[in-house]
Amino acid sequence: MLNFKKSIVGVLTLAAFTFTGNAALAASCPKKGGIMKFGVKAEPPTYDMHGTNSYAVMHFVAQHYSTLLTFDWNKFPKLEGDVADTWNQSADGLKYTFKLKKGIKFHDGTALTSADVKATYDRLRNPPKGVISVRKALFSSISSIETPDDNTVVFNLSKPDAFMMDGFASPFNAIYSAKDIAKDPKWHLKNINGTGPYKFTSHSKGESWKAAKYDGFHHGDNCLDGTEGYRIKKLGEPLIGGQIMAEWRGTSPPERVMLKKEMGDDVSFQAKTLMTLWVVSLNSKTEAFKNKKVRQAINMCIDRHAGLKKLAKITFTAPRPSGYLLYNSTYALPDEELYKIPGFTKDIDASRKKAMAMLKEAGAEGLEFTYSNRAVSHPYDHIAIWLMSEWKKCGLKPKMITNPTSKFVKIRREGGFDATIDWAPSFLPDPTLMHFKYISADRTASNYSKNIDRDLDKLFDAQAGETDVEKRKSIVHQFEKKALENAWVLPVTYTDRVIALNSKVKGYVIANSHILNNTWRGVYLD
Amino acid sequence: MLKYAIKRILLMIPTLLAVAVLVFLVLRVVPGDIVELKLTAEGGEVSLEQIEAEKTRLGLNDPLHIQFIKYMSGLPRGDLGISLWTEEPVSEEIFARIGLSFELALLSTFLAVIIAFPLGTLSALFRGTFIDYVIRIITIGGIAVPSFWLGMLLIMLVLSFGKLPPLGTVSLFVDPLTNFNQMIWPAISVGYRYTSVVSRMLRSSILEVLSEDYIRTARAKGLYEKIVIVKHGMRNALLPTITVIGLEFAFLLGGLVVTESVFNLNGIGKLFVDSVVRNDLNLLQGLVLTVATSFVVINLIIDLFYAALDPRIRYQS
Repeated sequence: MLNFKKSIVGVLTLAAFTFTGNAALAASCPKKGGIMKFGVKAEPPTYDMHGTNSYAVMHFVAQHYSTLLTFDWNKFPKLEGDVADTWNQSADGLKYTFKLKKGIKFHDGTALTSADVKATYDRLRNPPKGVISVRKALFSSISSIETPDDNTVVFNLSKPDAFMMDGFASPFNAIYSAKDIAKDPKWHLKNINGTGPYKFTSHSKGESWKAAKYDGFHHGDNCLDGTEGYRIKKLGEPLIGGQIMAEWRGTSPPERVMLKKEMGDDVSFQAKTLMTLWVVSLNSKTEAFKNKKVRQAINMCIDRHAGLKKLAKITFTAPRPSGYLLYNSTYALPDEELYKIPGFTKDIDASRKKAMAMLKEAGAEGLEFTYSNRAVSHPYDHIAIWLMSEWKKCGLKPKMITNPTSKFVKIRREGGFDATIDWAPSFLPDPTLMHFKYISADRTASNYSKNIDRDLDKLFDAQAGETDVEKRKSIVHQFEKKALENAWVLPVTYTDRVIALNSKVKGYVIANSHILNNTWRGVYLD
Repeated sequence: MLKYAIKRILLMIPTLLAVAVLVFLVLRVVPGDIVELKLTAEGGEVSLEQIEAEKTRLGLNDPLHIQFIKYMSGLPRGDLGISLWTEEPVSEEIFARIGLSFELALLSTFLAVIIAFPLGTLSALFRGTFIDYVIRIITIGGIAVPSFWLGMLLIMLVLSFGKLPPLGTVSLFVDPLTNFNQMIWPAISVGYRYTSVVSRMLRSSILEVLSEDYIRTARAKGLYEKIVIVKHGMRNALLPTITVIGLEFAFLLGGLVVTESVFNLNGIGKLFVDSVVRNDLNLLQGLVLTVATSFVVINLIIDLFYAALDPRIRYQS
C-alpha cells in the first residue's frame, strides 16, 4: 500500500506542475426554491452514464451524480474539484493522486470514499460482462488504482496520457457507489444513487423525469426545490406556452426569431460554439477517391468562407471554417496556417479552377458519387443542399441519398456510400478526444472512411503521451495539416449552440457542449 | 346468441396468430440496427465487438427461428418480450401509455357521437335545405382538414389566450380539471374529423332507410312521423353508423401518431413513432399486435351489437 505522506512529498519534489482544487467554492444561490421545468427531445435509452453517449441521459441523469473533477464554467476548460478536494500529478505523468472532500454522502445516506471512486473507474476501464463502457479506450492507460485510505485515491498509469485530467472531469464518468456496483454490475442501468445536487424522484416513460433537491449536496449550490424534465417534440410552443422554461440542446436561427417575436423580454438566449464538428467522410473503397487529388479537389470546390456565413443564417452551423479542432482553442491550427491548406483558401475562384484541373488530370471530370444524408432537417438537409450546389459548381455530379437515422447509421458503418455526412462530437477541445476519429480504421470504429495511415497514428500517439503543452501543440499541428491535406475526412464546420431560456431562469452558464454543465448547479429562478 | 358470440370469439384466435406471424416476419426485413443506433448515433467510440456483444446479450444474434419460437411461446402468457431500447417489458411500456390513448379515444368518441347524431339526422331530414348545406359544409370540412393541422391551430388559439396546459399526464381521478384541460384540445382536433365521418354516414344511412318500402308502409299505416323516424328509421340506420364509430375508435387507440406528437401526449401513437425511429422491433411488434387486438375486439363488439339490433344476423349465422 502506498504511503500517502511519502508519496505527496515525492510528488511535490518532482512535480512539474501541481493542480490545486477549488475546495472552497462558495455556494451561490441569490434565490432559492421553485421547480425548473425543461424539455428534452429524446428519451434516455439507459440510466447508466458509463454506457452511453446519449445527450438525453446527460440532460435527465447528470444532475444526480458527481464526478471526480469538473470545470469552472466561467473559465472553461479550467478544472476544479467536484468530489476531489486537491490533486496532483507526478513529474513523469504516471501517477495522479486525489484527496477527496470529506463528508460527501450518496443519496441513500452512505458515505462516499475512495473505494467508490476506484470501483467506478474499474467499471469504466474494465467493465464486467454485460456492462457497456463506451469510453473504455480512453482509460486504457490506467494500469492500477490504489486507495491508501478512505479519502485518497491514486491512479497509476502505464504511460503518460495528456487527456487523463480532462477525462476525470468528463460528465459521463459519474461516481457510483461501490456497494451498488458490488450488488449488481448492471444495477445502474435501471437505478440511480449518486451524490449530485438533485435526487431522482420518478421517471414516467416517454414523458417526464422528476428530481428533488438533495439537502446534503457537498457544494450547496443546488438552488432549486427540484427539476422536472419533459419529453418534447418541438421547443417553440412549450416554451411560449409556459410548459417548459428551458431546452438545453439548442435552437435554430428561424426558431430564435420566432421565440423573440412571441416572447419578447420573457426569453433570453445564450450562445457558444458547440464542440461538434460536421464532416464529410469519403469512402476509401470508392475507386475514384483512392486518388488523393480527387479527394482534395472535392474539398477545394467548397467555398467555406462565403458559404458558411450564409448557412449559419438558416441553421445552427458556425459561420466560419475550421480544421478538426475547435478554432481558437489551445491546440487548433491558427487561421493563417489553416487558410493555406487546399480547400480552406479564401480565393474560391482560383481554388475551383485548380480543383477542376486536378479532376481532369485524374480523369474524374464530372465524377458521379453518392452522398449519404440523414433524414433530419437541421442541420443535415441544409448542409447537404449547400454541399451539393458547391460540388456542382466544379462539374461534379453528387447524388444525395437520404435515410432515416437507423438506416443511415447502418449504411455509414457498412460503407454503403461514396461520401457521407458525419460528425465528431466532443465535450473538450482535447486532441486525443477529437483526433481519434481520423486515425487508422483498424484502431477506431468511428473512422467511417476506413482508411489506414500509420504516419497519422504515430503523430496521434506522440501527442497523446506528451504532457508539455507547447510540444504537444507542435505535434497536433502536424497531425492537422497531414490529415487535412489527405482529405479523407473533410471538415465542414462546427456547430453554433444557442439555447433559449425563460427569463426567469438565472445562473446558468452555457458550455461548449450540450452534454456539459447539466447538473444545474447555481441555477435559480427569479 | 351465445353460440354466435363463442363462434366469433374463436375466430379471433387465428386472426391474431396470423397477425403475429406476419408482423414478426415483416419487421425482420426492415433495415437498421437498434444497438448501433443506441451506441453510436450520437457519436462516440464503440467497437464492433462491443456492438456484437450487446446484440448477443439482447438475443438479436440468435437464429431467426429461435427468435420466432421465443416470441411465439411468450404470446399465450402475454409476454411480448422486452423493449430493445429501454429493456423494460413491452407490455409495461404499452400499459404505461394505453390509458391516455384510451381516454383520448373515449373523449373524442363522446364528442363525435353527441355532435354527429343530431347533425347527421338534421341533415338527412332537411335534405336539400339551407340546414343541410350548412351541415354538409361543416362535415366535409372536417374530413378535409387534417387533425394535426387543426391541432396546431388550436394550440395557437390557446396560446393567444394564455398558457398551454402543463406537460405530463395528470390522471382524471387526481385532478379532473387539469386532465380535462390537457385532453379537450386534442379531443376536439381529432373529434372534428370523427364527427364529420359519423355524421356523413348517419345522413346517408337515414336517407337510404327512409326510402325503403317499410317506411312508406309505416307512414301509410298512419304512424306519427316521430315514431317512423326514431323506431323504424334510426334503428336500421344505426347499423352502419355503429360500424364506423367502432372502427374509428379502434383507429384512435393507435393511430394518433401525429396528433399525440403535436400535443406532446404520451400515448400509443407517440410510442409507435419512437419505436419506428429507434428500430425497436420487439416494441413495434407488440404495438402492432395490441392495435390489431383492439381492432379485432371492437369488431367483435360491433358484430354482437349487430346481432342484438338485427335478429336476422344471429339467426343466419
